Amino acid sequence: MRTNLIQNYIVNNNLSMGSSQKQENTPSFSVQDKLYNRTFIKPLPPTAKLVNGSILNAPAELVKDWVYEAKSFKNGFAGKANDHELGKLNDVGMKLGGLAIACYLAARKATPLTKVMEFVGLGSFLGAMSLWPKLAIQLPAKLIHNINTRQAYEDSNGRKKPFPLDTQFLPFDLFSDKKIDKIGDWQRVPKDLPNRRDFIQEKMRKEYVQNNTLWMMTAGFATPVMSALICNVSTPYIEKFLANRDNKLNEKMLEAFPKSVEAAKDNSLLDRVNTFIQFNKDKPLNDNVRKELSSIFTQGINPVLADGIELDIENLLENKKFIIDNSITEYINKNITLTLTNSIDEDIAKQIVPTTDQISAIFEKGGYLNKAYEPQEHTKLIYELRSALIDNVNSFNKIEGNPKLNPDFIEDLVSNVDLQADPIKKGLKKVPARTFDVELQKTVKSIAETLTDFNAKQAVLHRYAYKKVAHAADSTLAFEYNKITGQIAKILKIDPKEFENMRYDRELMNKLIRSTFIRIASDKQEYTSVMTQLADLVSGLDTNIKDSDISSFNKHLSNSFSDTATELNSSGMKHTVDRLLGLNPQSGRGSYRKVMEDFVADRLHGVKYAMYRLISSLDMFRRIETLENASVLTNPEIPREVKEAHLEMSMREALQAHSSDYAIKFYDPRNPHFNTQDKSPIEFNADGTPNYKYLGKEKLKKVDVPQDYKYFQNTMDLMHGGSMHSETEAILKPKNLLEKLNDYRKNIVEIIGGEKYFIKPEHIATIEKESTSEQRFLLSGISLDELFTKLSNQKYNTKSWLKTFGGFGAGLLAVTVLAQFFFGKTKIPEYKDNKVQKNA
Amino acid sequence: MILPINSANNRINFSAEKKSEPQTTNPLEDSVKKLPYSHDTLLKNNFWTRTRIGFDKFTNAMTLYPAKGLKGSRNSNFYEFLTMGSVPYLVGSLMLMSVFNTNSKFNVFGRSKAAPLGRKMALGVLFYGLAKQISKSFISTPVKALTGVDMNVPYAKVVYEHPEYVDDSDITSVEYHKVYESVDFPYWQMLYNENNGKPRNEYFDKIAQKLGMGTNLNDSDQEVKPLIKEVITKARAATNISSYLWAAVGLGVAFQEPWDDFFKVMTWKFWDKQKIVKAATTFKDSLFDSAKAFYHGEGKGFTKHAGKFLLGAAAASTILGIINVMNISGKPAKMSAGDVIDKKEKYVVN
Repeated sequence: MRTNLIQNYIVNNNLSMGSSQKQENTPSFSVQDKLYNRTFIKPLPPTAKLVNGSILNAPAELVKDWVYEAKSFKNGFAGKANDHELGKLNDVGMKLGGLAIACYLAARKATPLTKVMEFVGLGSFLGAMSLWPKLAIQLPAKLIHNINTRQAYEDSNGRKKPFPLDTQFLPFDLFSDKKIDKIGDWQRVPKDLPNRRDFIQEKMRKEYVQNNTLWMMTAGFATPVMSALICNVSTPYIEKFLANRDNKLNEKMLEAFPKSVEAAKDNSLLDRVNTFIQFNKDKPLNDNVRKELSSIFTQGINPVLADGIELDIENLLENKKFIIDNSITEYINKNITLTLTNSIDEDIAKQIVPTTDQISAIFEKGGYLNKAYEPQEHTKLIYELRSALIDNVNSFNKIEGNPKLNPDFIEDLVSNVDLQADPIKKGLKKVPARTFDVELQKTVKSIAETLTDFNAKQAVLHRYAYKKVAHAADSTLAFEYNKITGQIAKILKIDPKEFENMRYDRELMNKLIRSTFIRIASDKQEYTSVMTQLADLVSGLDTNIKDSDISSFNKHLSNSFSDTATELNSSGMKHTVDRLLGLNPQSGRGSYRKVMEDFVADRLHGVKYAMYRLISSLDMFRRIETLENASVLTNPEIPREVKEAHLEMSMREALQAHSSDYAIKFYDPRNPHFNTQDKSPIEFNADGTPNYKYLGKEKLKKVDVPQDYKYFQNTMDLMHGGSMHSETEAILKPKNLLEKLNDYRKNIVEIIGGEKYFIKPEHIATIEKESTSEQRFLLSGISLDELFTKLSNQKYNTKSWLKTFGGFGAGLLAVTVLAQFFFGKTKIPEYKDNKVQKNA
Repeated sequence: MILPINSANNRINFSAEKKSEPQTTNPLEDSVKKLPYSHDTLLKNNFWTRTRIGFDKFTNAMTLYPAKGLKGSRNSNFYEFLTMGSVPYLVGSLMLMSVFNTNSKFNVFGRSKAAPLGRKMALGVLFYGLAKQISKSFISTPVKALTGVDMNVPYAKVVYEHPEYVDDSDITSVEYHKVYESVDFPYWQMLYNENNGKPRNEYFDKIAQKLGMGTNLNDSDQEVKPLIKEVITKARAATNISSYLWAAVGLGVAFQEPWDDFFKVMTWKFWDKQKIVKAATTFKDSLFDSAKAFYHGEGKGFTKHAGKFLLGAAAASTILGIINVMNISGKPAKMSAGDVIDKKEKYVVN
């Protein structure tokens, strides 16, 4: 036996347990104790363990992590942290940075949709970042090799680390033989392999390295694609949620109008005016004061309104009288000198211009001093001042050696009808009699208050109109329009493949819609089903944008304008009022108010009429197919060939026509020598398509037939005149749409039908009616082939995008998973020596 | 498997050799990889070295390391794994650009305004990484100036790898580390002068002087080492927090509206000089305008000042970090060794 040096040391120094026990308050750790028991010379037993990653254990681990992070933070800043703690501090920093980003994005000014999308975008990005290794690496690795690539362990010092992080230092001791064997069995390692555990560990190490590398190589590709797919899939739901929420908030804002106005109030105008009053009170009202006040009131205001305000301020601060006092004598002297030096020597001018004393004497002598006069009362004074100048000229001429001046010429030089060019007239107007007095201050303040109030009301109403109907991605109307149009193709049961194929050509699209409409209209059951669904969709628009919403908006709009006008009128702001209410407040024509009112109405009409056109067109197809309420086609007086032309034109225009087509291109080349004898009724094929007897049968020279002035009227009548189909009426009535549709159709006949058809001016359907191009544009809505081409493009794009990036994502996932089947391949060693100890 | 470190048959010397050293006539030896370093070497921390190291790491991260990793090589180590960590940043940013930038072909995102958002996210990922990296110098530079301790002083480490097969002679490689990358085990050896005629403790003398501990210390290295550790620990702690706040600032700047101008003219056509010049100037303008927009904000209250708060938080964390570094606690008083050990107490050296 070897000599134990430590034992010898203890014996030689006569140390025993007793000596340490004698001391009181000794720490629990005693060198002697440890030495005596010989425990100290061995390494302490390891306490490292694998972390149980189950969900049940997660909360406890989380709390533990927080405590550790807090400790790391403290140690880090005291300068005592170790590498692991500093690493943890890095995680803390990452979380803090994430929180800072979230706070910043939440606080940013952006539309709610953009803001939410920013969160969804970043959230999905971070989500994808953590999901990808779990889905594409961890899960397949577990299934294929039965290893956990995200296993964590805690070392003897309580430091938690990912097990496969450093693949050259894998603490396999933490795995029991049983666990390792289980993994080996799963990976089909021969059971009788010598040193089986070592072999399995080597295989596992290889797999960990390969998985780590695969993760780093694929994450950059996978994360953005996954994130974009998540965004793409979630966007419609977010849009729906936000649209409903926004609409409710918007309606609440208008319901609590006074409160909303108070919240929207911006007192900056009032503040600027108050500062102005403070600075200029009781000062004479010269041009600068006027200009400054005008610019304060018009800053950031609609230029049309600003012009009115400027004119009114000009009038409000107008000066009628000016004070004559000694402060202007020098000014007049200088003015005259300056005018004269343009024509004569400055030295001479100085000698002949009346001195300030002279001028002052004239003021005093005439009794003008310190009195206020209107400019027209200055005539006598001007004459006296000019006389003084002439006297000086005469005196100057008398002095020998002086050049002789012509007094008339000099007088002409200083006389001018223009107030600003006449040095004397200008001088006399230097000091306005009127000052910025208390009365005026009050008026200006009251105008500022009125305009502040008006601006706040406008802000609320603008916001309401914008959120409700604006041509913007996040308005209620845009959302509803997209919602409706997004479902049309499905309701009409158009074959998706065929629908997408037609996206490049409106002509082909036109044919597809036409055949679809004929298919639906020729089958009662299908027609009822489709029309009911369409009516449901369109009436949905009325629930989110109610008529009462619009009337309430108009009421607030009208009240805010008239209240403001009354207040401004009492302050004498007539030009501003004219611009607010128009020259005829009753009609509001050409007024600011009317612009806002029409904006909302027009936007609504634009969308609603597009939907109404769809319903009305399908109804027309049904009327044609059943020959119900289609008097043109059933009229025994109209020849068959003409009926066929009517039918064809109606079907074509219902799907294709633009507002401009009605105005300039609405002419239909046809056979001028049509068969007048054949008055048989229209016939249809079994599939519902018209069976033409004449149309397109013979190759004839076709022309427009202007003599047949009823042709256009009859076509309009077939398309929009009379009643709708009885089945359509039965569907629309309970949904409160019938009246609206009838109004719409009546408007088309009257406004578009009544429009002057300038190629053939006599060919108007009804009496001539005046309309704007905007009205005609709105009434004709969107042409159906154009609408469907847009929808088809949108659908195709979304699908292609999903196909491309979804495909890429799926491909990447497949490659990532497949690659793992080739991981961990290790050649099984061949042992020639059978005596090697087997440990399996 | 334990392999012989020298294969006598082939007379191959496995040690790393410097390129400039004279070559042997053995053709087999000539085919052996020649490394720029024959032993661990301290490098100068300057722009050129940093660029060279960055380039070396980047090319390896894209080529050699993944190849080794995917084969499951036993030489694929933690350093290589960490180095490969830069790949997802770059690939991810480019991928985001392409995912959202396919507008000409797929107009899917037009309606939901996702396209500008996606491009801003791509820029955000890039700016996040850049700001995080660049901001580290906001602490390391003042710390170096004030204490003389350069947190980032690099060295080239010559690594002897396991042979992959019996006759594998290519068993050396170079890794670029930092002397202070571990606070537990700084590579002190790198900081001494060996065989170059200069005082051995020159580095530590300088730091001692800078920290106000005087000159001509007997064992400047022993006195200064704990202080350096403290400086490094505190500075790293501050960097780990502040760099993420700066990264958030980077992302915030990337999320501003003026970038839309840049995205309109952005191009991948590097051969089209006109377009590239236009894109570059617009980038500069957009960056400037976006920084302004980020700082000034819109609206009122917190909404308006959110950018300032974020910038303030990042700046404050940096400044407080530096102040904390400078507040060195354990400056040893000048005392003799005899006073340090109290002979009445019992000590255990472990």
